[in-house]
Amino acid sequence: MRQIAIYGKGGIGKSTTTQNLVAGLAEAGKEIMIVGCDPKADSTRLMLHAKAQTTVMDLAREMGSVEELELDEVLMEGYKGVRCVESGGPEPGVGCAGRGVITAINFLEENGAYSDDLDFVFYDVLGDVVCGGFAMPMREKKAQEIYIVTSGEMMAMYAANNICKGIVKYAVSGGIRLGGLICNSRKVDREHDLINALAERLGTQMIHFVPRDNVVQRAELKRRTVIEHEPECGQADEYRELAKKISENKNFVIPTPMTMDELEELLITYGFLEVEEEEAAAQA
Amino acid sequence: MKTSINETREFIDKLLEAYPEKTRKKRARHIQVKDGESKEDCASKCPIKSNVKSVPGVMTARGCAYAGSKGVVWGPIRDVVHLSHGPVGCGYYSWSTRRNLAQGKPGVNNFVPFQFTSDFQEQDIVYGGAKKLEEIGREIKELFPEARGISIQSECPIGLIGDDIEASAKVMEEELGMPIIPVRCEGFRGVSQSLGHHIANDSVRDHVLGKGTVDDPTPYDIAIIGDYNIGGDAWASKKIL
Repeated sequence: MRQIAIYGKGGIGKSTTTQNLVAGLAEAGKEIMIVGCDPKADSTRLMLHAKAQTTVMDLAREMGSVEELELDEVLMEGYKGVRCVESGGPEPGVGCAGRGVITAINFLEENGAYSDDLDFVFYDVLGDVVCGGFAMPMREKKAQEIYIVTSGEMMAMYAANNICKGIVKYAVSGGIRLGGLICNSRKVDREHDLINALAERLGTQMIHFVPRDNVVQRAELKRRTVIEHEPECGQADEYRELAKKISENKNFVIPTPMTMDELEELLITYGFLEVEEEEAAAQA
Repeated sequence: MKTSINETREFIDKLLEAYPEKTRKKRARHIQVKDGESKEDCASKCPIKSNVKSVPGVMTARGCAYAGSKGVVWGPIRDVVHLSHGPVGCGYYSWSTRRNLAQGKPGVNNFVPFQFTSDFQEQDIVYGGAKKLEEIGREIKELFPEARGISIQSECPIGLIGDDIEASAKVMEEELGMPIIPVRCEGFRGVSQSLGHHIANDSVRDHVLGKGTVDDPTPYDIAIIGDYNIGGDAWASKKIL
């Protein structure tokens, strides 16, 4: 069983990318479980075609304690038998969402959710690793591989670099490794080169460049992955390709995060400056 | 004078009348007459059960998971240092509150009379307590070289800030060359200190069992873990061994 955690800046498309690539793996006959680690609980809606599933924490609150729960009350089967769980948690501004993640993962472990027939477990984690709770999937005997979803936007790259710092900490004490960056394109200038360069500086690879296509948004409105919604379209093949690359990936590293200055330098070197110069040259 | 079951029932109903409807419904589940007729039914029908959430105000004084682990299961173990990990209060108020069988030279091969705490401050909550924990491990080793291990008794904040004490324990174990046992007995877990007993015994199973050596082993040796030591119970238990 390979346990994989997906991290990245909030709003970058972690849940969408995760579910689409999981659809690609499921289509290829793999047994998969998705564990949503975000109080928003939107990591499984495309699999279940539902608004939001019953979460571990919501049900624990309703029943009084997490010890009262049964696994089949919170583990739903979605597209092609993909098993779906959401940790759930509080509304923004109250309580402790990080603890919700810890409680939910402990519950799954104690109740046998990690069965031997699984090929993959995916953790879809809240964008900002703000406390120890959101690093739970990185701890020993949990995820062994991490993929970071990013785009060529500065703050997404900044977040990716920060997440690498967290991975270094847990890589020293445990076995977690970075498997690569997934570029979810925002059509930033020279995005492909920029993320390739970022990956190189972090000591990893850009495992796939997912182009921007509005079919993703159309499929999302129907609460479906692209692979289920329009299986024949080019974007579906992009996700299949990503699934294949992750399935065959052998490139696992302890990342080498940069300082803020180095990151800005990278942006200037590969990004905006050259484009500005080119534009200036074209005008001249 | 003996009151009849019906009289008692009437008394309870009268008692409950004083409450508003919502509270009455809740409290009714905590006050019940045992009728003595249907013994078999009692277990399934009687709403009063152990190991469930309690209502404040009903007679349910109880401890927490930390109290269960530190006070009952780990605390009486003599030759290991038990570190109350978190702010100072939990450690201080669980210091020397029980009678234990443990005997020996204090500070040499008996650490039961002592209290060790990581005394968490604001900055430990904000930045995490991993480094402090490792430092304390070194301090313990230096001050008490005869200690045969350290158990880390988690207080509430450890679980809230998500400190990875298992990883710290692994690092410390390698450096200090003795068992370091992380115990996830954060006080808010479970409905009483009972879960603390379970968690503590699980940690004995996962981190201690099978790692020691026995002088002159026989095929009939028994290791007893999880002695329910609430007030010197081991005195009585030892007699029947």
